[in-house]
Amino acid sequence: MSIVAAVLGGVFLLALGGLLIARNLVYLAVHLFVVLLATAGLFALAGADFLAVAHVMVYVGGILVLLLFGVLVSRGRLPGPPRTEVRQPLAAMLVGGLVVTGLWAVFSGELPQPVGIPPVQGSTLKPLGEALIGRYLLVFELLSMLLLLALIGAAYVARRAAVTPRNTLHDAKR
Amino acid sequence: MPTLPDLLFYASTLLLGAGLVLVMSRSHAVAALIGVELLLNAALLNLVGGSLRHPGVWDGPILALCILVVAAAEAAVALALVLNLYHQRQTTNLHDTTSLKG
Repeated sequence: MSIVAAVLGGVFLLALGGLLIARNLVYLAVHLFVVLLATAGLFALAGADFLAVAHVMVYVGGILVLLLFGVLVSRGRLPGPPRTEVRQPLAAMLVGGLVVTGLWAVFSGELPQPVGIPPVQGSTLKPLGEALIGRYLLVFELLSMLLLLALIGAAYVARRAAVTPRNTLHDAKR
Repeated sequence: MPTLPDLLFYASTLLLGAGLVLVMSRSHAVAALIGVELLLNAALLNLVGGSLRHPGVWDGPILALCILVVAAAEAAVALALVLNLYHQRQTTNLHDTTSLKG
């Protein structure tokens, strides 16, 4: 297990470093892909098998494709690769570094250690599904409504408003 | 050698830091969105790491599933906003959208 954890951690760190260095949005997406896969691997290592599979499906199958689609559609006919500007990287690095240092100190400090994790027996699918349909039924229904409403809203916002005239207020002021 | 919950917590800390840096310093809207996804991923890792300490209690995994759904909804809405922004202003640079600036 420790070899798998070390390999996963190495891949995770490399891809995270690439995510911080990359300026090309496609490279950013590729690094995000590797980070997401390594995260799913960590979930699987922790015995959360359903969560690992759901993570890959939702993030890689849904969100990553959506991000790339957003990059493609919002480019027009600009030449060259889609790049992002970087503003004030030192200040951002400083804040990020402070947060990481503080949290790292907390997590490596006097946390109550577990008395011993029992090895994972079989799949978590059945107990998780029973919990989702039993005790957490209201949460489940609310989540489905939230997702439905958000998708309808997204489709409404993203439509091309052909009816509105072009010379609205901000066009006139430009 | 850190234990497995510690490993998850450290990974979530690094993800949080990287997400913060991306959100704060990248000016392309999609790059900032990638940062937000990293922040949500950090929360996921934290929940799974915490739920390792309480086997048999499903609060952590259920909350993680909630975050997964919220992340999907957030990405859909945010990309719709990016597309709308591009249609109206022909830009996706967050520093060019300053019409509310006082």
